[in-house]
Amino acid sequence: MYESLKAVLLRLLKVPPEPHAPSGSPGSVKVFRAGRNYYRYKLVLWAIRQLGAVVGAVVVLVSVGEAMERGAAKAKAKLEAEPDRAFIARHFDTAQTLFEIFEIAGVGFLLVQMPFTFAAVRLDYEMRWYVTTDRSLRIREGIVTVREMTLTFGNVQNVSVRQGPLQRLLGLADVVVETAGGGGSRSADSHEAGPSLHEGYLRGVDNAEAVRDAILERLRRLKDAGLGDPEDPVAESSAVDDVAAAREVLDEVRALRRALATRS
Amino acid sequence: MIFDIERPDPKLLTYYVLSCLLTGPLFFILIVPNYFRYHTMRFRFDDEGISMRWGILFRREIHLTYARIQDIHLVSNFVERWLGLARIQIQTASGSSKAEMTLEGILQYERVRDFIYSKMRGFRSGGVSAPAHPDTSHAEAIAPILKEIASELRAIRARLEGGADRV
Repeated sequence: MYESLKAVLLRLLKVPPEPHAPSGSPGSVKVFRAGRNYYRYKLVLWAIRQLGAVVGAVVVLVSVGEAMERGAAKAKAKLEAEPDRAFIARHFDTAQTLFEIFEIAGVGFLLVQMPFTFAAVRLDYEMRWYVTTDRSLRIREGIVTVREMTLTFGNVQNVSVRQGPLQRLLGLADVVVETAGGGGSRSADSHEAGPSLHEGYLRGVDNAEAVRDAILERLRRLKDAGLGDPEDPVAESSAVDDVAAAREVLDEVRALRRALATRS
Repeated sequence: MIFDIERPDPKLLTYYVLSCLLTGPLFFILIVPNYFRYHTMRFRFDDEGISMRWGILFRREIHLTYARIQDIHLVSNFVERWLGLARIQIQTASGSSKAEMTLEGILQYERVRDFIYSKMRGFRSGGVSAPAHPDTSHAEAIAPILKEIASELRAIRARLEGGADRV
């Protein structure tokens, strides 16, 4: 059931296949995925939303239905009292039919969207990759809007781990990799899209420590991660000088030997 | 191949029309700037960086160098995917949370993205592991000494060659 729905949705939304790893040293590719509990977490949120929608629909339908009944009684009374001036009252059953159609359509929509939004939650969990190589990170997420972010570790300013109470209960955390640059206002409800493009969100990983350590280990190898000064600006140039000087000595010694050879 | 890209694909105009249709009656207002945006949009990829310009009343031109690029986003909604398009959002370390440059209407978006990625900041240095010279004071000292040896040897050779000439 789910599998066929998934196939239909993937084809309909033209979701591209799994992202290929950004180029880096071979063998350094590590793919992290969202934890199994992330799916459960999203499912709970989905269930709460659905429940809210159902409760809201019931409240609206019941209250409007009651009002309709009261209105119908009133309309009947008015129709009997002054039949000539009761235009609205005469057409009251039309309004009632309209309301019934609206009621059926609303309930129908509520029922129809359930499997689709459920599949969307599950797909969002499945279509989520955090690919790292020795020099860069690629985050792919989303099904309706697919977002693939690529950044090199050379640009990373800091790495943070964020965890909410519910996530903590489920053993989940978000690892956030930030690059330089300002972010917009990050409000609580804009959790989905990641409003600041300077932040790479590795959402819902259940091994946040391992992910963080893997990223930090890669950052440590780079001498000039982020925008800071390189730690040792001379090292590279002196290495070049060394080689040049050594080669010079070698040439000189060779020339010397040749000169001596011609002399003797 | 990538250096040849100058104009967005005509599919971009289709996408603009579709996305403006979604706004309903505002369509006729919104389509005008988008129409001119499509028709005036020009890209230029060169060895240093990327330039992009558009606009008819208010002109805009953006230049950025590959070396300053920090992150690259490849974004597509499902309408764009049906049309075979995607947006490439490029970020530098500037203060805005929006993309500095959004390349639109490029059909070979994956290739362009990988091309930019291979040129961006931190791509080359990324492969470097562990410093090559752990003892830097030693490395700093060795170069002048070697140079001195070289000049010393040069002097010896000069004398030897001079002596050889005289003989």
